[in-house]
Amino acid sequence: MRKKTLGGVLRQARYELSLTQRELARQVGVKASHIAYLEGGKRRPSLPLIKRIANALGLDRRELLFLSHPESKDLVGSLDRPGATKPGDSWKRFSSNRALLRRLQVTPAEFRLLRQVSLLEHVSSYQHFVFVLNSVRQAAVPNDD
Amino acid sequence: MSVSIEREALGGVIREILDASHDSAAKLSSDAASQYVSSLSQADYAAALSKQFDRRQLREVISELRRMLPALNREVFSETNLARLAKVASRFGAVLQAKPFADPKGLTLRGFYVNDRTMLRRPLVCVNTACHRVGTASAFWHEMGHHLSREIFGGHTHQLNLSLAAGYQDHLSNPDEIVADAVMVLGGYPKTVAERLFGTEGECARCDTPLLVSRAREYLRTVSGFEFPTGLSVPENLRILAAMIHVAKFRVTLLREYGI
Repeated sequence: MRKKTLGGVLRQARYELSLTQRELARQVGVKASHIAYLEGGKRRPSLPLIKRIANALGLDRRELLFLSHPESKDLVGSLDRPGATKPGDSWKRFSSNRALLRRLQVTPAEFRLLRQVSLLEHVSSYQHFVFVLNSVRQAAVPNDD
Repeated sequence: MSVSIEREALGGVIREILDASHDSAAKLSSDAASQYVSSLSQADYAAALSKQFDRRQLREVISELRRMLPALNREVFSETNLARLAKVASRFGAVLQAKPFADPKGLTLRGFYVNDRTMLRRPLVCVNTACHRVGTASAFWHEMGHHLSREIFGGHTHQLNLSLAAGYQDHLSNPDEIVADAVMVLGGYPKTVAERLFGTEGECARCDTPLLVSRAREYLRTVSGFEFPTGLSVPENLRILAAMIHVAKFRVTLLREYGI
């Protein structure tokens, strides 16, 4: 199984949001080359940059911290502890991230649909909302159909 | 079997999963994971299901489902080929979308069902193919359960149903999820298979979890070549273990309490 890396996670999340390295760099206040270095595993982001990248890409800050600074894992605890995220946290983080909602261009109808996810089950990651959103869009019919 | 002995026996399976991994971080989380699996094994399925359906009600529901899906509870739904599963979905008026969501947290999402005609021409069944293929097929049948029950019984309160690996116990208090799980469980373990594997008497019938897991492992190896633990990550193997416990306990309860 391929080992998960910070660069891989960043690149995947960036692709999912259809962002170029330049666009992401602009959002988080660094040069595009810095994003390229991070994705290539050549540099490690600072803690403030981890926070900004997590916000921009809708990723978990803890996860980015552990991937970029693996030594912090022993201090903070493991990622995959079941129940580590409180129910509702994921939805709060997703629905309050204006930049992400704007980037994803979430319509009111889509927002209502995704809100049902938060009411129905215990969602442990707000990336689930992005996955559901993208899947529904792929299957969606055009408005004029 | 006492709680402590059962935990110890389950601990053996969990240790087997951990021993197959070299991921020390995942091993650190084993205590919490073990507690999660243990709490699932302690859940009283018979009491939970009886709060939602009495014997007559659930038998009627299954009978209605079998009008649409006559093979339910008669044949093993062992198909894992996604193209063929897509044809099954299409036959019932739904669209299957199968794609990977491989992020570790993404893996907890097994699938979902959306029936929102304002956005979709046809209901959507989506499954996460980053899971083991047997898990993906199980998720398919769970989501098809939502679709079939909607077709038969009309609109759900919700237009969207999500299936998460951490939400099995929540299913027991939700009639929609119970029906969807019933389709998945009866497809995996038709009555004759369930009777042979779990019987109606003895330890299996009392939901002795380690014994149920042992029988389920052997059965899955035979019908689908599913070897457990898999070569996947520790958290994923623990999720699969949780799913095996849930399905087996659900199946035994249907057999013992409902005669299904």
